[in-house]
Amino acid sequence: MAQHAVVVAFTSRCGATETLAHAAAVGVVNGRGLPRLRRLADEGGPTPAGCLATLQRMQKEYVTPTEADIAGSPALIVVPSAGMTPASEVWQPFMAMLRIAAAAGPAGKLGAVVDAGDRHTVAAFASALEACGFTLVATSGDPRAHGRAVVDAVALHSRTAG
Amino acid sequence: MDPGTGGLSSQAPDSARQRLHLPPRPVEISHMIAIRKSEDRGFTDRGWLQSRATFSFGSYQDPRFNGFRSLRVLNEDRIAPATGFGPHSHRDMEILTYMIEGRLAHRDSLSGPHILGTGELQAMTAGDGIVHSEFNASEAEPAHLLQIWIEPRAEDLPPSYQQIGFTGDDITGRLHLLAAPATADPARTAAINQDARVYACRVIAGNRLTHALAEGRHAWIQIARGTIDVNGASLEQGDGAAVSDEPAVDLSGNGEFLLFDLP
Repeated sequence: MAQHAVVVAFTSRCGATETLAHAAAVGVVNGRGLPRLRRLADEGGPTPAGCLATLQRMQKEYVTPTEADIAGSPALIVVPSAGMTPASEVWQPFMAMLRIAAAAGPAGKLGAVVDAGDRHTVAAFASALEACGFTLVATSGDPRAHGRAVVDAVALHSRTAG
Repeated sequence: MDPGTGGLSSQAPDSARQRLHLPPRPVEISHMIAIRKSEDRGFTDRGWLQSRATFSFGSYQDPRFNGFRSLRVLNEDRIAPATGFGPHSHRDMEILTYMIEGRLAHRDSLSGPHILGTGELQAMTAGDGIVHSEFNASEAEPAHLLQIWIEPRAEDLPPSYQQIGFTGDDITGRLHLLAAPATADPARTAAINQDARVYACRVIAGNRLTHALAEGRHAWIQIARGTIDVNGASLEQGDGAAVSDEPAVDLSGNGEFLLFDLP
């Protein structure tokens, strides 16, 4: 059985959102999918107190998402830090990449937004993903449940489409 | 060919025996030992990583060497300072890391960070899903390690992480049990979800050890350092040997090795 890749894109400076992204990725693995953890590049701004070591570690450990990642994955989970919007400086290049991918490629990719503690952030990213042609996977519960639900939906979509 | 033995057949014809580096028949020490030479392993050089794979792994695929019994992966990795494997996932595998030199920084979705050094073994049950990263913890020295994957007895097990320590004395002149299906001392022996036992041993000239193999059991010996004689066959650093249908494994020489006792 083919293993479905799922991009898990997140922002994090102190590691809290990284933990949520890991949980979502574990959910993808639970569903026998293949998570691709991608951390968005930092766009300036001060480093919060006490976070320098974590920030430097994450800058070393992660790669940023690419067009190939998006093109090669049937689903995307975004994990934005609370308070961010798709128009936030750190997210703008990624959202632009999604729009270009949506214009160039077939529709029908699945998407989900993990709640890092801000409903407004979730709503804003959900709208933005829909605008880019993603079909949102309705989930409730923790990030791991999000990951599992998305890969289950991908598997179901794959079976019914093929 | 039996995929469970990874192509290491003791019944192979002479031409195949040469290809598999079995001893030529006239001087054959045993029909039941198959040697995997270090230089014949798969080699990957990514700049920051030099990896030699005893069995098929990643871009190195050889259907003759897909594992031995429940031992599925045995990679010897050299990781450049301050580099490593970013967060990635595993499922349904018992993953052991044996440090030969250096230190490894490990983080996973269960716990961490952990620092693994020489004289330590990490045992991770991937179970139904785990995400982890592994980086050389040193900014100056390379990390040299063996990464071992053993197929678990069942799928969808709960993930777990263990780290055990041992001293030079613990492993010198004796087979020291690193991992087993059950352990009475979790600080010294990791519990793994397979009926396999993993031993470490350092032998010096004059030591001679025998490991009895129960009926139906098999052994893999992997040389971490030095030169070890295995039932009369001389193995160098990086070499491995599969032993089947033998009552015992006799070991001597001067070096360090891992012995896997496998169902």
